[in-house]
Amino acid sequence: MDMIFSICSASIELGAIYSIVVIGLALSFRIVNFIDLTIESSFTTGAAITAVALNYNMSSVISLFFAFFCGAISGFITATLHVKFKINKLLSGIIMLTVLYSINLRIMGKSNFPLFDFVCIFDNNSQAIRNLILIFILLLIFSVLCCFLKTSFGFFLRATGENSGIVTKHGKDTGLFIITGLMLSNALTAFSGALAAQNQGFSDIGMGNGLIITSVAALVIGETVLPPTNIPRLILSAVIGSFMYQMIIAIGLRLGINPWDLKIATGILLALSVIVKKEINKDNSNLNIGSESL
Amino acid sequence: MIQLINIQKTFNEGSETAICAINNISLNIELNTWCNLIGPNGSGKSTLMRIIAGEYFPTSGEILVDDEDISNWDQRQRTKFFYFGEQDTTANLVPSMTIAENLLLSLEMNRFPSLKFLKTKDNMDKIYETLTYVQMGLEDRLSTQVRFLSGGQRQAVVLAKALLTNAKILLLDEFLGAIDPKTGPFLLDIIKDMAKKRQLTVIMISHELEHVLQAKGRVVVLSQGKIYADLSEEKTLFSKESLIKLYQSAIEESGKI
Repeated sequence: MDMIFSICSASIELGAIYSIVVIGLALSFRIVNFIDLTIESSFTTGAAITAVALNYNMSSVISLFFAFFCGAISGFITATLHVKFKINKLLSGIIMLTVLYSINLRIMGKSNFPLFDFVCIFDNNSQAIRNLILIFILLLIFSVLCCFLKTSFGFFLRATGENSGIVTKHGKDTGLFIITGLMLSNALTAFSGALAAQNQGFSDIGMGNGLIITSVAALVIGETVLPPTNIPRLILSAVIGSFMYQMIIAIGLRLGINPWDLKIATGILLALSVIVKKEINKDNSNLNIGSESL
Repeated sequence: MIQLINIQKTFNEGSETAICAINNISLNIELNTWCNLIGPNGSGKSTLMRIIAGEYFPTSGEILVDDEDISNWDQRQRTKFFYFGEQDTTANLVPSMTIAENLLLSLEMNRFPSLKFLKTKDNMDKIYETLTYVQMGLEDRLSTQVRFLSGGQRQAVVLAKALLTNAKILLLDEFLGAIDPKTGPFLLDIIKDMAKKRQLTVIMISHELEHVLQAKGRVVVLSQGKIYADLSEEKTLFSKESLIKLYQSAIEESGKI
């Protein structure tokens, strides 16, 4: 019983932080239909920005907003590479992913930036309060996104991912929506990166490595458990998926999986969940919203 | 008036595989009239329509609407005048959005959509009214995802969308091509009715001569990228036989080369 409890409490914290990335991923992969690889680096960008901001004696909350803003910029550049210069979606993501790696090193000035000397958002708080802060942040993101996607702008954002031709047919530029979607998705990712850095007490250049595969795994698990038939459910399934993923990994580690083999476990987990999801949707009763490109 | 002046379209221009799809077509279409475009496959009907809608740019030639030169307008800008309905029943719809959500998209007129909620009482009333007008019983299924509708129902939703936009010219490229023989004429009657009530101009491509006869109006026959015959509205009080004859001779003509 004790073991289950400790697994749960640790997974809740990590699950909540990483679920923001998964929400961003749902936004880019599902709603805007852009397989955006930038997030792997923009996560680290968020961490780097918050580290430097704290180093300049800024408050931990303000540093989170800086991270959010810088993430938006990186999403803007990726989207612009695709929209304005017609570079393939995957390629523009890879370009930004690579460029950001160096930029992140430049921002931090070293590959590992400890934050133990600074006051972070999670410091001096009990576990319960830390969890409350995270739940508050998640609720805020959830409600803002739900409202945003119900607006006129949000409607066209959704249309862009599924049938971009229709956006032109209504006299709007698809580029506007792709750029906005990616800015939002990367901003959320960087925000999450900043939270993760403050939570673990350091920023590291390798923080985002493998983030895409774990986030996709989380998203697919979530969508299998809670089929996203509308926008609130899509965001909820991202969050649930993230919690479940963290829990599965925590249990796996407890059961004695060598941390070296964690990526094998993640790969198998992702493959399995995709297969299960496909099997469930076989009979064409699929009500899921968004693009099914992955 | 819609004026097409010396429209020429060559695909792969300059290479050995160059294909001249439209060969110097000039055509004037009065506003608030019905124009049927018929002709064999490859005669350039769809290419011509896509040039009007702005999906393709002509190799040379000009397009004027109401004396306004729109030759350099892109597809997005031309939606000010045109609504383009296609045969592909998913082309004008977002499959996982509900009927209501698909129609709400048509109610946003600004180039940059606002951050206002679209699903207001006012908008929903408009949608309900339009769907009732289309008479396919869709007004009671507002929250059904469009992907679960039949082809005929989807095209009915597209018609409702066309009605909700400000476009005054309806371009229909084999719009009823995938619809069964019962629903097709039914929808065509609705298109005719809405064209009359809303003073719409309709340019319709069709392979079904039945549809052309039912729609009445002017008939332009294309063959090999040229105008083969142009029958004014008065002359379309012809018999079915003469139209079939004309159509067949256009097909034979295109088979010569």
